[in-house]
Amino acid sequence: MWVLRDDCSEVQPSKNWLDPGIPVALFRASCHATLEPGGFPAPDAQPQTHEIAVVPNMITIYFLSGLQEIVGQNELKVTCSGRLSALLESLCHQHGEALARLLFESGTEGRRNAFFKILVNGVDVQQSDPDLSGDETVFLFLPIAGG
Amino acid sequence: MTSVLRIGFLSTLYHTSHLLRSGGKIEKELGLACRWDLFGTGPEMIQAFGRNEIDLGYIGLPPVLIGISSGIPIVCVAGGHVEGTVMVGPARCRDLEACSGFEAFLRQFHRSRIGIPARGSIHDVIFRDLLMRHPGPEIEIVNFRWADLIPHGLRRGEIDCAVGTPPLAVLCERELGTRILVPPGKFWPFSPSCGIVVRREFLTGTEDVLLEGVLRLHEEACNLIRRCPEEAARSVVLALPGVDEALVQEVYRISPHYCASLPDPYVQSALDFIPVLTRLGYLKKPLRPEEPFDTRTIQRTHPAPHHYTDPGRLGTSHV
Repeated sequence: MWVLRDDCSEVQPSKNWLDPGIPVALFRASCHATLEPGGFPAPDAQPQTHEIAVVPNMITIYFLSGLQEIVGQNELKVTCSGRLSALLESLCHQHGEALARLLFESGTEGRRNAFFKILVNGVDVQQSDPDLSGDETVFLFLPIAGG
Repeated sequence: MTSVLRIGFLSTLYHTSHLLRSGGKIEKELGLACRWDLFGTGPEMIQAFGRNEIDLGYIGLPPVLIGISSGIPIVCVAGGHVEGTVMVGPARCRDLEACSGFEAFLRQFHRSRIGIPARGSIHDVIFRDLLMRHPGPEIEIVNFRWADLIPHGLRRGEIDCAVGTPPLAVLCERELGTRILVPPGKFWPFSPSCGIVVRREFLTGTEDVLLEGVLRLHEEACNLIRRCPEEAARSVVLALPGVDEALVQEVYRISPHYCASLPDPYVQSALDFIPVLTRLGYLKKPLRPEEPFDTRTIQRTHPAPHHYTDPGRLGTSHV
């Protein structure tokens, strides 16, 4: 079971959720119970729980905001474990220079473009390099839709 | 004097932040280093103001009002854009024009889910207010921290329609074939979708001179969008590899109401949110009308009549 707060932005995986007997379930996000008036998270609010469709031991990668034009598809499932940086390197190798130009700042030693967003299980990883166990959902997107 | 200007901005493509950031304008023309922090939504930026992490921000006014009521020492010193909330949905949905009004329009969404940027954002407040004024249909609001995940939700059928910015509308149309069901301006006339907000301490001493310079650049960028949208789009994509100029121009044209000034209709429209925010339970304490705005600097920078209703060359094209 994954626990969602507000939207899929704060997803906290719990270790005992992975039940192969639940291949697909509903993903329904609603923030009503998790926020106090004003849009700020209530410290003691109990988050609502939702179940998400998952394929065990497969990292699911979504390319958003038109990036599928670069990579050719919107959803990708890969078997992988290790650091996020290794996964990104692999993606750039598969999908070419266009993706690499978006992901990394030119003229830097692999420093990621701060404008490009990478959410791992709903968390904005920024410049960190988390270890991936192999069951994560990764969103890659160039934010342009505003808020 | 501030040594580094900490600016909070959103990814909303039509904000002048993208033009100023792209050309390094503030650094070059004011000789001031900048640190640009990107936020997913306005409420998140307000929290950063509360932690004293940013000095100036590009943001819609409702989250600002919420922040001020929470005791965050910020004030709106300039405008930027009005009427930046649209609703998009599948082609099979009837648009507002095809209905006799909002009541009939909303009825088709009974037991639907609508994706909207975070709770407290201008889009969230406008749509929740609409539902309060037209009760009846059961509509579930699904808030998203990153608006870019809204098209993803639409694609997967997790939501049925979306309310958000003009860039969101263009993205959804391009990727999913949706269309605009409620155009900007129909939800809330002159809704203050973008303003420049600063920490109150910025209005004193030498900081005020600096602010005047920033607002002058902001106004020049607003004028560039209205008068030379092609040139503005070219500048924006320099900072955003992967975004094409046509998309930026399309976004500019959906709601061509750009200006830095704070005329009475802008201020009044913002103040009209106060009773709505109160009714929604978003304000921690009542706000006085004089609290959210300080117009002194922008009146010096932009003494001429406002341009919100003058689309310039953007008014001569489609959409």
